[in-house]
Amino acid sequence: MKAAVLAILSLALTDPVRAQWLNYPTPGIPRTADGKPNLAAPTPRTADGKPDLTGVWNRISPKYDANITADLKPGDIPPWAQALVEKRKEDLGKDHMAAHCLPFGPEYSTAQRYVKIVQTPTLIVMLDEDLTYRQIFLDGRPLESDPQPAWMGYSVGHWDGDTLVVDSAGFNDKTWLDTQGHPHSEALHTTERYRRTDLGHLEMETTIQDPKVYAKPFTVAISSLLAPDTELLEAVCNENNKDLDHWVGRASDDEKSEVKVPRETLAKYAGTYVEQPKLWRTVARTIVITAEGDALFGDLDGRGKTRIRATSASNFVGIQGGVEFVVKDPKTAPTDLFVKHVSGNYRFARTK
Amino acid sequence: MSKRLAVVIAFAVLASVFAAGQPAKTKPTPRTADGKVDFSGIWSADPHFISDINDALKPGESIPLQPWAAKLVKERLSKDDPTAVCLPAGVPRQVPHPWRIVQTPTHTFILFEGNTHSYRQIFTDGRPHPEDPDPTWYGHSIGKMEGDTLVVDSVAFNEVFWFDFAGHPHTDKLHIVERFRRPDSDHLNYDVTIDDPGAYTKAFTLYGHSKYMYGTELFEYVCNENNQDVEHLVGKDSRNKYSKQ
Repeated sequence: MKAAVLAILSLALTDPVRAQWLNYPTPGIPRTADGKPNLAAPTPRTADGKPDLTGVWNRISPKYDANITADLKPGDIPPWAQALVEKRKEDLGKDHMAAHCLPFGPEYSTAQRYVKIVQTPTLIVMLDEDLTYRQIFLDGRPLESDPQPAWMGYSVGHWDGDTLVVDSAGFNDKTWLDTQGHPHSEALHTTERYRRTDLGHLEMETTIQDPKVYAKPFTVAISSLLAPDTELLEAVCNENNKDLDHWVGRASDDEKSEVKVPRETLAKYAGTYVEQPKLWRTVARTIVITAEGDALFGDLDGRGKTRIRATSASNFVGIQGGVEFVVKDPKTAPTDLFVKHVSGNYRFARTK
Repeated sequence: MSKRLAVVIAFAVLASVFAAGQPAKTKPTPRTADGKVDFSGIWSADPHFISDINDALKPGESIPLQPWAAKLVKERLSKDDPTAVCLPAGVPRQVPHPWRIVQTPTHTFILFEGNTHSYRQIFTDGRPHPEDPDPTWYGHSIGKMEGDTLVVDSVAFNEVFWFDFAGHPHTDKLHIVERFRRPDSDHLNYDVTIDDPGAYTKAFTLYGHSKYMYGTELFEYVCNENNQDVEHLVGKDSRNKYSKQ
């Protein structure tokens, strides 16, 4: 329990309170009669007629943020890599880059984070709130054949019609591809294809090739929503990083301290719960609770079904800082649940 | 780091070999499509903004420290320098690594090779400073062109960073105005006026000079990767006027 609560500290550090955000209206974007940004307006273009990807984007990627291999079959991941992922899960992710204030490397392009894209004719820059930047050169230079491995790798881009194609290589092998800890080697080569379909939407497909780990290349598709009238908020991990001092325990500790809750009670907890209000997020978070025999599972935003374990009749751990069901009448199902986080408890109302 | 050093040495050697082949005159100031000065490119660090900002004053001038700030700058030890634990250097401090200006019609960005792999953003879209901004390492910066000068006005800094290795302090009243000029293709000059009534008796100005760096790229300097500074930092940095007093 303690371990699980503390293990999310890094999320708190990279998850600033949006209520403090600047709310200056982004100049120059099309708006509807009521003054709201017209997210369905046509794709903006630069002076040379290329789609303009410039803007602050909210990447909606709960599934691949957790598990970049979510669409692969078990046999597509070699046993040694799967064993490494299991170990990283058991260690509660204490060696994830976030816990050590190190750059996320290739994970920046698939993680559920804000990104500010800055486009010039010869250089595109992607800015993260942790102050890390990524440069993508469009000046015609090729990727080096034998680059010095780097956290952020090396990226070159070109336009294929209205699609920006970005090829990247030269990553070091110290980063993880996702929160669960799927590994990659220095042979990693990614190809991202970005398409801004209208003012408010950016579609991206990235193909991950790393023959030293994954026998076949695979592709994930991720959408981003424009985040107008707001700005990146500086979040400097090193400023007050106490993560590692507190990053103790193992995932299996929760199993050992599990409290027995009757099956019929667990069955009442099953349902779909939606965050009220949605706070700063563009899309309200949803958690789906399912009961199977003596086991309870939660799936937050499609990150994948995760076993949650009871520490009392209504408190469970395994997702974020834990889940607490609000049971007003023991004879009926709960009306709400709280998802706990170091920044506070978030109320989710039962919708079905 | 070591690679950067090696490259610097290699450049020094190459520069001496090819000195005769360098163009005698620099090209004119580049301009964007709308006729504004284009500041884009990779610029060298100005050493006067690294060890002791006294080095960046006009000859004969001194830094108007308030008594408490004068005491603090003499007492500060290198091990307590935020950059020793991989925190951002803040403004207008530089480190011995180049930096890149990226300019768009609505923003100017500075990408730093080190001390941390980080960026600073300057809004040039006409927005004002927010009324009650959160203090940050790089503050809130707005810029506009005055003729051929980019004037950048910055507030909302945290009080944590030092202005240099010497340890010149500041308070949350810090207000910085930078005036950038590119008189020709190869040179960037900037006057940095520091106004902090919390730590200094009056505003003062630092003068900076950077050179365009041809044929190179920003390397990746990730301070957190293997930082062993703090355990080896003993006493006070000696490259400032206070260590000699």
